[in-house]
Parts: sequence; structure tokens; C-alpha cells
Amino acid sequence: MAISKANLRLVSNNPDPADTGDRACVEALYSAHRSALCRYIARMLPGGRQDVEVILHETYIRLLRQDSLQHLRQNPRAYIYTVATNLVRDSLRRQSRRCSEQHHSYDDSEHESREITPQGAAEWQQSLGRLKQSLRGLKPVVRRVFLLSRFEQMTYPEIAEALSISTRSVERHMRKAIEHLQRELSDIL
Amino acid sequence: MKRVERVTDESIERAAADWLAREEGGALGPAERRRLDHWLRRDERHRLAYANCRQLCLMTDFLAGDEELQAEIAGARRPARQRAFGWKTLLQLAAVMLLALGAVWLQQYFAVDYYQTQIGEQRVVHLRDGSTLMLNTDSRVGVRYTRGQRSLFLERGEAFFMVAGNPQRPFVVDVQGSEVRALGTAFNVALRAGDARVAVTQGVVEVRAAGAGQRRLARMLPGEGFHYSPEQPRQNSGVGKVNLEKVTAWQTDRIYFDNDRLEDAVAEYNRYTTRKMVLVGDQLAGKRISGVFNIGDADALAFALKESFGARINKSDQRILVLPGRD
Repeated sequence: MAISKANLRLVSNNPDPADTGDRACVEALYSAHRSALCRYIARMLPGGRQDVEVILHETYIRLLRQDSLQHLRQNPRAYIYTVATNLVRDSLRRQSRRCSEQHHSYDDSEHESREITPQGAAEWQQSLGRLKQSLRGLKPVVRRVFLLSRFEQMTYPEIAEALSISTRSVERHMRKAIEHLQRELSDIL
Repeated sequence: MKRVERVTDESIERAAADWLAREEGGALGPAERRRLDHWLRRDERHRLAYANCRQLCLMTDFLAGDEELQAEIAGARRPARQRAFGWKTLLQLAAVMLLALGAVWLQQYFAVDYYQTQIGEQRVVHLRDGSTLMLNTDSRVGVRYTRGQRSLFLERGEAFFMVAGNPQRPFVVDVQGSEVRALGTAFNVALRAGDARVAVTQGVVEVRAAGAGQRRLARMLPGEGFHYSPEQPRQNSGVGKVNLEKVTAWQTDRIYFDNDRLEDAVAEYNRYTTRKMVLVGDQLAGKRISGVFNIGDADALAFALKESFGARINKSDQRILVLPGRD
């Protein structure tokens, strides 16, 4: 993680960082999403308010720490939620490790969190490549349903109408798509 | 690509995919939503699988610029969305505006208005649908109205609800996950030490358990009441008659005792004041008391205890000690 961050700094050579403007932008985007994000995180971390606060805080820090706001500006919601979800997954993995590996000496490098967020630059691009590849493995109708839902935020009835299938099929295809991606990408998750 | 140990097994992955697919359809009702929450709470692996699914969906969003993938859905896209010229800049502009609007909308949609009272305070709140909420001492109620439902949350204390009828928009009071549902009704809900007490003065009210299936615990008509533990709904009284005058006495600043144990009566009195009354020793605890007292009128209650049970009263600014009489 530390290494990829360093790389990122070298590669991105922002001529005018306009720090204060960036900060205000991050601040505005973060506060616009904060309360919904808080509920979103809390569902996956029902352990307590404190865990949720930690993730929220860390999300904010990560948003501030990036070198370019390009990704964030393009799709703030997806960006913020990706960062937060990744932190949640880290936290869940750490928790389950704490339970299951009390006897083993635990190897830090092996288990260090993988940063699949846009901030992990190279790894991120690689992951997106894998994701695209997995999407190609889907049946065309399943893929179209999934992409319409994600890219166009169309509701299931809208998708059903556009593709002349039933709403139930839309839901079934969505499930299949998500199942398939989980299976295919389990090694990067 | 190295193979990393898989924390989740396949059936969990399938279940997670199923939940997310249903959730993304946007048609998850409050009951199902609660079932999902329950499923997530039950096992860490459930949460991880669910988070993984979320992550995959979010990652897919970043492929929205991919021409190959876009070409596949070209014909099916929403017709309203033309992306003809300079769509990137337009989109960015729109994103900023949407964000502002979205923030306002989110706030309105999810915002819960809280009303609360201090110890000894009572409050009447007129809600915008015409319903009225009366808060008793030391109580807190959240109100969130959406198009489909009027959701209220009794977080602590006691409240009386006078519901403006609207069958299209159920009026639901959430009590620690359980639900008290009403249509055009007036009813009282009190939450005391993990015990919820519902009493109906008008119309029909249902109580549903928290969690999967939302089992119906009770259906009450006017004059009936029900008490239960929201956490363990099996522990309940069954529907029975209640003394409405007693239940609603607080709304006219009175406390109504009806052959109550003195211990309970004192606890009831103490809800309304920071200057607590303390029963010393257990001799008096089991005595029975009946009568109507004004809330906060310590002197009247103390006088009654002195007269009826020969108790000795020792008052200070902080508390009122009630000692058994010297026989």
C-alpha cells in the first residue's frame, strides 16, 4: 500500500494543486454524502457507532490525501462509496482474522489490505481490467441488465421495459451478474 | 494471480448477491430491509460478502466511460439522456447541481426530526399531516415522513399519538425495532426499562415484532392494551383491558394510581421530577395506593403517605425520604 502511494505521487505531476479549492471541494462532496454514507457503513458494521466513525473519518482523510480530484469529480458518489466500502472490507477482514488466527503467527505482508480504490492507481487499473474481462464472461442479456442498472441507474421496471423482459428476470439477472463477478474476482476481493 | 484464501463460502456469496439484487431494485419494504439487516448482523461472513458485492457494483460504475461496454447498452438507454455534445463538461456541471439538489433531497428524505422533553416537561407537537404528538416527561421521539409512510421512533419515555387518517400512508411507531401500526387512531406508547406498553383509545392498532417476518404480536381495539419486551416479544402480556383514564392521565398533568404497589407508584411519581422520592426500607414497598395526584405535587403525595401509612417524611432540596412509621 505504501509503495503504490509513493508511485502515485511520482507519476501524477499536478502543476497547480490549488490546495484550498480542492479541500473545499472534498469537504463539500464529503458532507453532502456523509449522513447517507454513515447509514450505509453502519449496516455493514453493526458492532457500534465507534467503528462507523473511524471509517467515516478515514474515508475523509483518504479523500483529502489524493493527488488529483479527477476521479472524485467525475463520479463523486461512486468514488466516496468505493473508498468507504474498501475500508469496511478491511475492517471486516481484520476482525475475522482476529478471531480465526489467534494461534497462528500472522504474516502482515500477506494480509495487508489491498487497495482497490482509485487511489491505488496501478492496481486499480488492473482490477478494472479484470472486472471488464469478467463482465464479458456474462451472458449478453445479463450483462446488459447489470450495466443499465449501474451506468444508467435505471430501475428494474425501466430495464424490463427497455429489454422486453419481466421485472423478475431483471432481478434474477442482477443476482447472476453479482454472483458471477464475486466468483471470478474472488482473488482480488 | 495468486489464490487468496476465501473467507466466504458459496452459499453466503449467493445469498449476498440475492440481497443486493433485490435491494438495488429499490422495492425492498421496511420488513425486508429489517430482514436484510438481521442477516447482516448475524454473521461477519455475511457482511463481508455483502460488502464485496457492493464493491464490485461500485467498481463497475467506473467503467461507465468504456466505449465497448457503452455500445452494448446503446439501444436500451433511457431515451431522455442525450450525450451528444461535450457531455463530459455538461455531466460535471450537472453533477455539481445534482449534488446540491441531492444533498437537500437526502436531508429531507432521511432527516429525522427529533422532539424531546426534559424530566418534568411535557410537550405537544403538531405534525404536518395533521397528526398530533404529546410527549410525556423525559421522552424522545423521532419523526420521519416519506411519501409512503409516516415513521416515528419512540426512543425513550412515553408519547400519545393522535393520528390523522390516511390509509395510503401508514403511521408506524418504531419501538426498539418492533412496530406499532395505526390507521386513523389515537394510542399511547410508553417505554420503561425495556418494557413497551401500548394502549389504544381510538381505532385499531397492531403491534409487530422486530426482525424476520414481522410477526403480528397483537391487534387492539379501543380500551385494550398490550405490553411486551421489544427485544423478546415472546414475553408479552397478551391483549387485555386497560384503564384508559389511568393511561392517559398524564395528558392532563395527573398521575392516576389504581391499587398500585407503593414502590411502583413512587417510581411513577419520580419520572416527572429530578427531586426524587425515596422509599426507605421495604416495609412500605408492598402497600397499595389509589388516587389521583397532580404531577410534581410532592406535598400532596407525601401527605397521603403520611395519612394512610403513617410514614415519616424527610424533605431536602434534592430528595424526599419516605420512612416507615414508628409503631
